[in-house]
Formats: sequence, structure tokens, C-alpha cells
Amino acid sequence: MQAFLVTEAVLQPEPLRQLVSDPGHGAIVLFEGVARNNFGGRATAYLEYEAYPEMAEQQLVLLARQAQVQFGIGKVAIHHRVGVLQIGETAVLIAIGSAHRGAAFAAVAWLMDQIKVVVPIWKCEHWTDGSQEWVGQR
Amino acid sequence: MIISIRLFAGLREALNQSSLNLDVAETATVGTALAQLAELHPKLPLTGLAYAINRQYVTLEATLQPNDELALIPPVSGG
Repeated sequence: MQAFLVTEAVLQPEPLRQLVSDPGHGAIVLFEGVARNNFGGRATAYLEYEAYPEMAEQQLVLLARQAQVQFGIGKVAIHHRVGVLQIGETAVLIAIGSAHRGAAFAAVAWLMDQIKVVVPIWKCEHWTDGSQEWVGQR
Repeated sequence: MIISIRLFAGLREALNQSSLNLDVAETATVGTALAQLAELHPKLPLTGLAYAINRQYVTLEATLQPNDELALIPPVSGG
């Protein structure tokens, strides 16, 4: 299993957990970003994600390296799903192994923020009224 | 020289294609290539974008080489 992956397959936390586990780690933090049923209060029927996969995976690797330097965490694995996602399905999975929990909690929050700024992945909200909209953060 | 342009999300939908080739001058930059693209496709929404050449973020001033892959990156929304 690749540590950094953009995939159409359903995301599974257990392989990522194994990728980041290490006898010297006292903490593993697993974060799941999940498809929500609304955006800014407007009702969402389902989501669709598109990526520039080759560049997105490179950017995830770069972010993980930065997080390791900045927070002193251990191993990192990040998978992002693309294609159609139903409400409640996992869109992104981040796993971090760390000697101590504090660094891992801080790093996972930072990584999610950075993913939403620099990783070339786009979310299309398919509203319950049948219309659709690519939503961006910039 | 020929470069390829990658389109995503709303840009891809606007042209109904995910990539295209563009014949640009040897001295072309991201900015001049974009100006050329805007002339060819006036309805393409080219504001608020970031740019990448061969998967690395660059600015409008970056120069292009033959066969470069120029990606037009709308505001991202992963996660």
C-alpha cells in the first residue's frame, strides 16, 4: 500500500494505521474527513472529487515532509478519494505516528489546513435541487 | 513550440475537455500562453487560478519549454 495515494477506491483506515506504526511511537492519530450533507447550510445530495493525481500525490509527500520537520512527528500516510462520494463516506484519511500525542494532534490539524490550500483536488457539491457547483477555498 | 495544457473542474467542464495542445512562441511564459488561450476561448474563466509547470507551482512570469505540461489550477477544495 502506498503511503500517499489519490484513489477512486473506498478508503480503509487499517492499512494506513499499519504504515505509520512504529515501536518507538506512543501515539497514532487517524483523521477522517467525511462527506457532509450540507455546505454553508445548503443541502448536498452527494459529492464528487476530481484531482490532478500525479501532482496531488507529490504535494502530499511534500506536506508530510514539512510536517515531520515542523512538528517532529514520525511516519505519515495520506489517502484522498476521488469520484462520486455519498454522504458519510470518507474523502480523506490522514495517519500520523508520533513519539508523543501533542505533536501528532498539531500536525494533523496543520496538514488538513494545508491540503485545502495547495493540493490540487477539487470538490463538486451536487445539491439536492439537482444543480452542481465546484467550491473553492481561495 | 507545442505545450500541453491540463484543465480541471470548472475549466474542464467549460471546454468539455481535460487537456489541449497549444502552439506558443519560443519565448512564451505562463502569462503569454494564458493570453493566447483567452483569445482562443473567450468564455474560459481564467481568473483566480494558480499555475503549475510539470507539476510544480510557478508564477505567471515562468518561461515554458517545448512539451511542458501547464496545469491551470482553480481554487482547490480537497479534504
